[in-house]
Amino acid sequence: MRAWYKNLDWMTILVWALLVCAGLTAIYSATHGPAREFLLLSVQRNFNRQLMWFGISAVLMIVIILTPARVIFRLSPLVYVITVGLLVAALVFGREINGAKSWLYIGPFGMQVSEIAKVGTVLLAARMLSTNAAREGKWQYLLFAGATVLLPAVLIVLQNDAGTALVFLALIPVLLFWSGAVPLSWMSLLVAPLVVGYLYIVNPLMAGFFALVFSVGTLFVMRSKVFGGLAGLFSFGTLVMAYIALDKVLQPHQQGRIRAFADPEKYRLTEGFHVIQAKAAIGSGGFFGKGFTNGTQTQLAYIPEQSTDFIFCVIGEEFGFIGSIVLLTLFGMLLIRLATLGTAAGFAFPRLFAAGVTGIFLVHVIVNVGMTVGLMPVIGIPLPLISYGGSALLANTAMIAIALNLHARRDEFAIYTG
Amino acid sequence: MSYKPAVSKEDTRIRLRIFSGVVLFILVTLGVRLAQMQIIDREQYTVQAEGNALEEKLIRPARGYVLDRNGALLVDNETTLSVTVSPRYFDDEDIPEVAELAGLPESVVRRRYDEISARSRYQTDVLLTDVSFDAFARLQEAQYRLRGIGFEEGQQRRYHGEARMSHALGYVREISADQLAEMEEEGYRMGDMVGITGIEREYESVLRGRVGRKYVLVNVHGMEVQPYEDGVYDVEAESGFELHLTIDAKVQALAESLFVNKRGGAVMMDVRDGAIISMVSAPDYDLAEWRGRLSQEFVDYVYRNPERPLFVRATQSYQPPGSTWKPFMAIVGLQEGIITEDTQLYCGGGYMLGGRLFRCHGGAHGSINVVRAIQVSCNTFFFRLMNDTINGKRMDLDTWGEWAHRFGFGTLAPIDFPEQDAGLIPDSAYYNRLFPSGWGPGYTVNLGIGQGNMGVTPLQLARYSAVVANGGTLVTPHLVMEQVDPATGEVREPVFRRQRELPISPENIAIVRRGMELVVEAGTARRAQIPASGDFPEILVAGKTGTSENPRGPDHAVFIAYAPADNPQVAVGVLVENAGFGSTTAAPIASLMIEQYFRGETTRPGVISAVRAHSSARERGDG
Repeated sequence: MRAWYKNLDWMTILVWALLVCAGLTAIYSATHGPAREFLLLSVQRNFNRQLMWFGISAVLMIVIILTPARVIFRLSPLVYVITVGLLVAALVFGREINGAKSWLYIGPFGMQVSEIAKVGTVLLAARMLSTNAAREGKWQYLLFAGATVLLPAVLIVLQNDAGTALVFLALIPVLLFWSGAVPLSWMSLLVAPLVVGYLYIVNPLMAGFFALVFSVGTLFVMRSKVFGGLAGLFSFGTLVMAYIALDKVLQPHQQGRIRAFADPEKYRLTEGFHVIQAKAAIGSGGFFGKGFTNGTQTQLAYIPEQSTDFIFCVIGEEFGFIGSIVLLTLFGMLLIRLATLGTAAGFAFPRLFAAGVTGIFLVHVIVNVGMTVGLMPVIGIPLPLISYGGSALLANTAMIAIALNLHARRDEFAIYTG
Repeated sequence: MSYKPAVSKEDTRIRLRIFSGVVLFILVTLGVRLAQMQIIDREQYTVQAEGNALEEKLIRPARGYVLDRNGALLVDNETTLSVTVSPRYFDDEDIPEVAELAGLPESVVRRRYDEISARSRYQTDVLLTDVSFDAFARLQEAQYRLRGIGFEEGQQRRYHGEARMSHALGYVREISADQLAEMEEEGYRMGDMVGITGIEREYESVLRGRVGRKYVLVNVHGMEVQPYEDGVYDVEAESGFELHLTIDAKVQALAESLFVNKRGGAVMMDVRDGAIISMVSAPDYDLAEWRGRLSQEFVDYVYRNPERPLFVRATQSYQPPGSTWKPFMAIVGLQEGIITEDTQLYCGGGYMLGGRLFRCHGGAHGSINVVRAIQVSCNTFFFRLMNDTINGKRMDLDTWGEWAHRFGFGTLAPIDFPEQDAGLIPDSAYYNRLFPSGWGPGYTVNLGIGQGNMGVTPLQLARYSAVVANGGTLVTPHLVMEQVDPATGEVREPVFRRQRELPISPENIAIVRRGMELVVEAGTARRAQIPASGDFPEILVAGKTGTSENPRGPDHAVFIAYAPADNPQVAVGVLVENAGFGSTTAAPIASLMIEQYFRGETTRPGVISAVRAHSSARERGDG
């Protein structure tokens, strides 16, 4: 048995630190370059505050890693209850920022509770799914785990932050995939809702066509009526859900963003503005970029929210293709490394926890980078570890730290397996 | 409760592979998209980003000042406030608010905005020129919510001195859409001022200067942030040249005051080089009124008044010259050898032609020579010169016309002034057209005394008078003496067409000049005399009166003169419409202008008030 600290994965810590530093660099450029004079005072301070959050996160990481794994395991329901409690509190007492009521203030200290809720949700869901009962395919447990994820998602929708809620919903298929409760072949049916949903945004007709081809194709390839029927249910169900969600549930400004995604030039001065400017920034960055604090789009304030949701534009414009690829590579390393660490011990809880964390990060990266390069509609969620935001940095660091802890202290689980 | 591995190790490895595959697939997809944007389509996005951030700003140079021949400032500029708009940032739903803040009708602002946005969405243009300070303050206060609205300084002509010089200077207006379409390549843009008439129009390119260009980076709000590439592509604006006119503002002011309540024109020029000392046209208008939105009153006055204030009578109104034509006839007769100084022609008080009596005024003059004929303005003498065979020679219409053209009649003068009429010098083709059934000497004999189917402008009269005064040189009239670069002091003298020597012998000129001297000394233009006064010695004036017969109303008064008679320096041509005999108003006006020019003041208040008391009668048929 090796001492836990010898198992600690320094590589992940290094990648984490590099990503946060890349974020700090971009935030510095966006807030201390020539653009500074057009920014609100509160935005100008973003760099210094993020630097402070970096320090606090490092401390938090150390504290978490020093905590015994079983404490984390046992505390997970409590953490969940606290975070859900915070979500409810934010709904009641919260302050509305950018249209979403997801901020809770204690004095001058504000936290975005929907970010913090991710930690508790992943912890509890992983714990639920790692029970033998769940593993044996008891539906009650699966449903219970699903409810664990849905509850915060619903609260966050009520806070009017559909983007973040979407991230929670994405946890369900990811966790199902890793739990082993559902056969892999069935998981492949999940491709349908993903593709249909995406296509519906671009062009509903194409989505319908794909749904038809997918259902009929599955029927013939699998030679199973049940399978084909499920494929049809999934794909056409998604079609109906997408229609309801996009045309009935979403608010006009969100619908506008979806429309602008399909045809940015048509909404050049309104909803399409962000996307067009973001793409111009990244595209004009070229291979090597325009150089630190030299991006015209960034420094002349053409990119909105450029230290938060659109931070990838700063990197794309000022550090070019090289910088963007380095950043994506770091993310790839982080995700695959975390997933690998989760599976290393052969226990369900670390694996499912790592699955939840990597699933969340992956969705963030797809959506965030996707929207800046025009592959996704504008959904306001940050780029993990890069975008400015103390709560998000703390929550993301905590999740990485917990995953590292569960990996490093995997031997402590041996007690349970006894 | 025990916790076991949920799935087999093998199963987990497959899931890890699938997951890693998904991650890689997604990252590679994003990477490919980035490669497409940042490597393949880079150019397109760069153009877009630069189009965003880079803006070409045109810097309007200061329009050149205008000064008179003595350096007195006539025109300079004052700074005005303009409101600009960048269509790419501007939301046209803000138009009503902008209009309200500016105190203008919404339709005006909208039409203007539509013009601008139709031209280019990327060019910032002037939406409103010359806004009042109050409107400027209101708009500036609201600027933060009126995206795309900006401000810049504009300029407006400012006029100085007593002389209005409406027609000579001409007015400046904001460039019209039609003009802009033509002149855009020269760097004009909306809100620019351009000369519409007069000197302002003729010397537009000189007065305007060179437009500067500045390339700046603008932020998302259209605010200028910093120069592009440290300004290496910038072009400095260069102010327009100052124009030093040949006009004497004091003579001009006096002449204008004498023309109040009259219609007509007067031109006074230097007989040596054609420099125009004064050019008056009445009625005139106030140049300062051409500013911003014109008042209805002014529009009515300028465009609807039957007296047509915009019409430049000094160069465009042509009338028969009347008896001022006689010195010309004398020169032609002498030069063609039809008469000599001593040729005596008989005047019995009229001239019979085809059973019609062409009357002479002042009774029968008996047998008189050419000098006397000029002095007493004998019609008979010149009828006969025009129509009879004398000494076996006669003047035919073509010879007459050729000489008229030599003197600059019937043609446009090569003057640096845009509004001009050639007048009318008929030839046989003209008469054939006018009288298809045939015409005879009775139709053209009137041309001998400057009546009938002919017309000359005051400018042509002055130029003609200058030919007599300078001994036979047809000068090139001009209004600009020199152009001065205000930055360097460099002086450019405009190049005018060379003056022409006419084939007239000095002896013959001398004969005619004697006649014209006598006209003032002891003839019809004694009112043009400028007697000695105080320290000023007498100024000898030579001249000739004329009465231009007008079938539509009272006759027009005409007068030509030059002075000093013994050493001519200036020549004058005056036309006062519907004012009767040339001696009553036209001669004193010329005389006073000459006095003012030589003495720097006038000494005859009685003459001035007499001239001022006179006004042009209404034409029949005038509204």
